[in-house]
Amino acid sequence: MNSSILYHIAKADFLERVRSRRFLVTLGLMIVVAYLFLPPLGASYITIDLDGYRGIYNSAWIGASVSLMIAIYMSFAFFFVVRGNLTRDYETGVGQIVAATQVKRRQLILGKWFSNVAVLFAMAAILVISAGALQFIRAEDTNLQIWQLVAPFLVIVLPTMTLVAAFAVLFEVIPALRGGLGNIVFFVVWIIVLFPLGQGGSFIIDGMQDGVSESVAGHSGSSSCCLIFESNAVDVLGRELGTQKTFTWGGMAWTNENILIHVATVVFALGIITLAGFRFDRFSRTGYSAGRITRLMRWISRNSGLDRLKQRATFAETDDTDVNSEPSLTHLTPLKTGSLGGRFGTLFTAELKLALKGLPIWWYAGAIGFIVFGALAGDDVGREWVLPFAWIWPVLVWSKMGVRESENHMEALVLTAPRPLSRQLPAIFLTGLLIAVILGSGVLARLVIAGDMSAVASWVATATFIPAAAIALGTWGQSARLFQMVYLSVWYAGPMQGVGLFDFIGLKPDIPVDTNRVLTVVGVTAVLIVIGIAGRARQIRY
Amino acid sequence: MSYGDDSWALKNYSLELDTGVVGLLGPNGAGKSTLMRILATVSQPTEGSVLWNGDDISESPDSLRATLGYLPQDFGIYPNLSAIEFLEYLAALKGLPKQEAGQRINELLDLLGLAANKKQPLSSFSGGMRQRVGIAQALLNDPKILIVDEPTVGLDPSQRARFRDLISGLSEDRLVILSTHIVSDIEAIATRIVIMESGRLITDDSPEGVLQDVEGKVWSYVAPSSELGEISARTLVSSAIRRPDGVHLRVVASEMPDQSAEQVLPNLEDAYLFHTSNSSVSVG
Repeated sequence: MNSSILYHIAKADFLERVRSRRFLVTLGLMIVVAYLFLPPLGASYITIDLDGYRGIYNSAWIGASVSLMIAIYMSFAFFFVVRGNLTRDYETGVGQIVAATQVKRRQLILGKWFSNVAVLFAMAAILVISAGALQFIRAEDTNLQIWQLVAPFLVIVLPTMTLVAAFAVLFEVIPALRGGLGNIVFFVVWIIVLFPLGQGGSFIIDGMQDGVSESVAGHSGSSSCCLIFESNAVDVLGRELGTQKTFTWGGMAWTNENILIHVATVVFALGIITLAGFRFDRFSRTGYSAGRITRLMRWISRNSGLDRLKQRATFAETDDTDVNSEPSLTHLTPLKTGSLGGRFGTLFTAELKLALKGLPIWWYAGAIGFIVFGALAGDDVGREWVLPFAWIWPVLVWSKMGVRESENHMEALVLTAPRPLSRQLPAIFLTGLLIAVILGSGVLARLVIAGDMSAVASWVATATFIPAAAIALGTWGQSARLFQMVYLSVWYAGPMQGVGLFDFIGLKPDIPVDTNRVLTVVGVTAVLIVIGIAGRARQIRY
Repeated sequence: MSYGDDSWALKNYSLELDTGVVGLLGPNGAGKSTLMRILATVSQPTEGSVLWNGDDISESPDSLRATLGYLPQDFGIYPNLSAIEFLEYLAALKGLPKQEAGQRINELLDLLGLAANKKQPLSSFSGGMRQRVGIAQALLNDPKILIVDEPTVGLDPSQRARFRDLISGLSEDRLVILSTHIVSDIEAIATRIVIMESGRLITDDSPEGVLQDVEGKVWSYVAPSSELGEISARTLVSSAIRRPDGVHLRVVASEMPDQSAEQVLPNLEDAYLFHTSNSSVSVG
């Protein structure tokens, strides 16, 4: 295999991405998250708790903590950062140029994987440097020990990144997984494979617990440890955590077993890349692929001779045109004077049709299922399970809001229509709201019947929050992926895992609705609406 | 319009337009598309202003948008929609009442030869068919100002001729700004020719006026094929066709380039080359 070709495929792809705004924005956000993951002294929240203890912020603790955070949580975000390099080649036509060269499909796939790995390693490297800087910012222990800081990244983070990079390539070569559905599927893969793998770095947590028992007299080290995100020193289980005490952790004593697990991860990644190599069609398909029904209709049309008739009907009138003739005037029927400025309802209907167009039949079946089951299921099941799933079902529809125009290169046509801010944007918002209302209507009916008006208020706040968030992230992120990534993460952490900070639905069985939470959601929604309007205004100006 | 401190896409540009077809000509990178985007309210000028019926379109873009038809050089589609659904959506955005939009869409689809394909998904359309859908959307709202950027890309010769007829008919009572680098597209229909180069206005005149500039400067003669390179280096060659007896040249030059050369009537291609020729090529 020609290594020079591999190098150039990976290099071009790497440069294309690290020079993008998305790379810089994501990196910036990750540095902020890393900063917050190591709470400042005196902060009102904690992230890692070892039965009331945490390590002082020395190189060992910071390196291990930030590595855990990346391996467990950021591996999901990293997928969104690196995916799309093959899709871009399909859509831009670059793929067809590459396909006409002598490059082998394995080279292309390996090159894309190397590029993904390089992007993620670059991010990880910057996070290591940031972690080092954090040690001085927190200033509990300013003795920088490079190996203690870097080792957890090498052993845990980098192997996990190779796996994420491989999944990103695999999902690109399977047409059905190239779009938003692939993001959802990866979310499931992340929960099943990567999340436990990151926690497989639990030997780091074991090492931390050993550190507590060795350093603190009388501490058994057997108490539970958790990664939590809670304020007011109350963890997700409602336990009062009090003020954390600190101990000095000397870092991991790495064993062969620790390292072998992550070597196996890299081998697994190579297996996925090999599979991707077999699946890759070497750009033989065009960017858009029609659905089965469309393909069937075209086949019937071709074989019935209908196409030939249509061709004659379409071009017969043009065949007689003399190319060199003087122009003859062609007139269109004028519109009635003052007929522009039509009804908002027409535009809203058009936006709704556009949002729902192309959704498969099973999507509608699922939506009906959520409505019916929400109305018929018990109150507890409705609040805890039906409503969260009903409001994740249209995530791909919502994620297109505010970004559909740019993803389809339609800005010049759509944003030059009259009043794009005061007319089209509200229509998009109401479309998203209507979808949330319909999907959650089954559960809403039960809440209304039960007369639980505070729960109804919480329901309304959330239904409004979702499209506002989608538009804000869409107009600024310029990619449906941003909302998919953020919303899925928050949904999983909040409504599903019960981390209070992220529970934007706030309806739990037998727990009264927290009015402050509802007001917070309303406030956040208002801010998101303003952000969305500003984002759209920015799109219109440029 | 500037990019950064030193790079100007458009500079020192002043133009006043009325009804008719304005043919915008210029080489690649001349700033035609930038001008079009500014006129279509997609981009804003970093300095200066564009007025539509006295209103600055940067401050009140909707006054123009309500009556604007715009076909950009590169535009996308929603691949899952059919042609008719796509046009219905854009008609709603432009504020057309539903019934009138339906009539208009059907008329445009018939006119542009898309009626038979109107229910097919746009993802199945060829480049030329997508371009015709783009032309249809630009005409949906019966625009008073129609801005079309390289509109004939992807159209076959007969479709180009039909598009030319359509533009001629439309321009009687509205302003059509048509940008292209295919000179023949506007030769027969433009009532005014604007030639740009490097972001600057080179010429703004009627077709007759533009041709007048090059009157008596266009020559035709036959030269040995081996001399073509040398002739191209010292004169402005408008066309060169190889034949058994040598290469048949059409050159733009102030003085007779060869003893056998005969003066011929200039066309717009000659005038365009004359105006855009850079200083390294001698026209004299």
